[in-house]
Amino acid sequence: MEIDRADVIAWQLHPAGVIVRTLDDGAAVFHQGSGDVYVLSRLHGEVLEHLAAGRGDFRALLQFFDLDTEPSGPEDLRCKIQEALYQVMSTLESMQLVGRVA
Amino acid sequence: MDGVGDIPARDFRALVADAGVIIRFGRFAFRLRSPVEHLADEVHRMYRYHPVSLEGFADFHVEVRPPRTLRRWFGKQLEFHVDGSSSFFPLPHAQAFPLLEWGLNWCVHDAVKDCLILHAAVVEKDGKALLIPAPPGSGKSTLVAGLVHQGWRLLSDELAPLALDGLSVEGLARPISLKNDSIDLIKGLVGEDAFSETVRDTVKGSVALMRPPRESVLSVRRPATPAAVIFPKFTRGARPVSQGLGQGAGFALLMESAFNFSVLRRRGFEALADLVARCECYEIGYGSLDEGMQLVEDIHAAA
Repeated sequence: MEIDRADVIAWQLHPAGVIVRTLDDGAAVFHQGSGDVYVLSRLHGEVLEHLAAGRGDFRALLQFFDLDTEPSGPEDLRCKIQEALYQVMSTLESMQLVGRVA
Repeated sequence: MDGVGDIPARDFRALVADAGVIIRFGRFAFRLRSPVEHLADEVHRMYRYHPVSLEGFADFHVEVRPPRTLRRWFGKQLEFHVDGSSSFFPLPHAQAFPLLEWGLNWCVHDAVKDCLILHAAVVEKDGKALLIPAPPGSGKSTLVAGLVHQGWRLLSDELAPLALDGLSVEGLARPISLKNDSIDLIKGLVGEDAFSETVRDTVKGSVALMRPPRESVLSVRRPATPAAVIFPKFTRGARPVSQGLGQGAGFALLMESAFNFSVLRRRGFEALADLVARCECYEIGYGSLDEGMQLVEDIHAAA
């Protein structure tokens, strides 16, 4: 799933790669380029692993999204996931774990 | 190989002042040379059970001596040198033994490239080791001294070399560094004989070191398997409380205690992740040594 936000945005892992270790209350992430280590939410870890595996459809991560309100239908669900995913990606981008595909 | 205590104190002092002695702790050995007699005497007492030799390989060549600059005339200062160079500020003459201990901590931290070095104590009983990482002032060393007095094996008071598979911790069994009020508290339990002189007005306040038990020194090469990680916090008068931490919270706290992460990079990351995957992490708070030790015993029993 690509993320619609004004323009369609696609994301990719930092070229150096990341190592993700899933923990019971989150995920530990190692940036192989900078050597930085982060402890993030389980959702952030799952998204990174999803990207690392080259999978594009983030609907498989539905169980990890904590949506504020019940979606009114499939289209609303799609929008809500996109919004949540955008927030996750923005956070990961600020850590230089992912980047936008030009 | 003899123990330090097998050499008469006067002879030991002369040897340290001359060609030096090689003292072994865990996998490391350091050659100590110093003209400072009271330092030699303290080492003789505090490293009583550690193996000593006059020749052989030493990982660190350590010298504690007056500076060769004008500083030697101001306030009777001493410098810590390792392998001929010094990266430390000189300290007053009275702080010779703490200076040696702090310098040796630096040597270990600098030398180890095949383990993740955690700023943590390690004690073991019945084959289950507990890692106790904590910042200064949290009561870690006091807790460890109390546990060791109760028969726990001391692996380390300050630095925990964690194998990169996260499955074992090495022992160092060096003296336990106690500060301020905890000195008299532990002296009341174990007696004066196990203690170095109290050195006042250090950057850490009053400092005294407690000799590790003979059994801990003799079994130091036997690694231990971590069974739990405990983050202690002593607050005078506080009620005892023990709380399990999630793996992520434990990982984040352990990260703060890891010294050589930047060297090990991915290998250090994996070691820490393996550790929290197999060990429960706890935060404990307590207002007395007895309460703290009981909380540790409870965690050990459950591990």
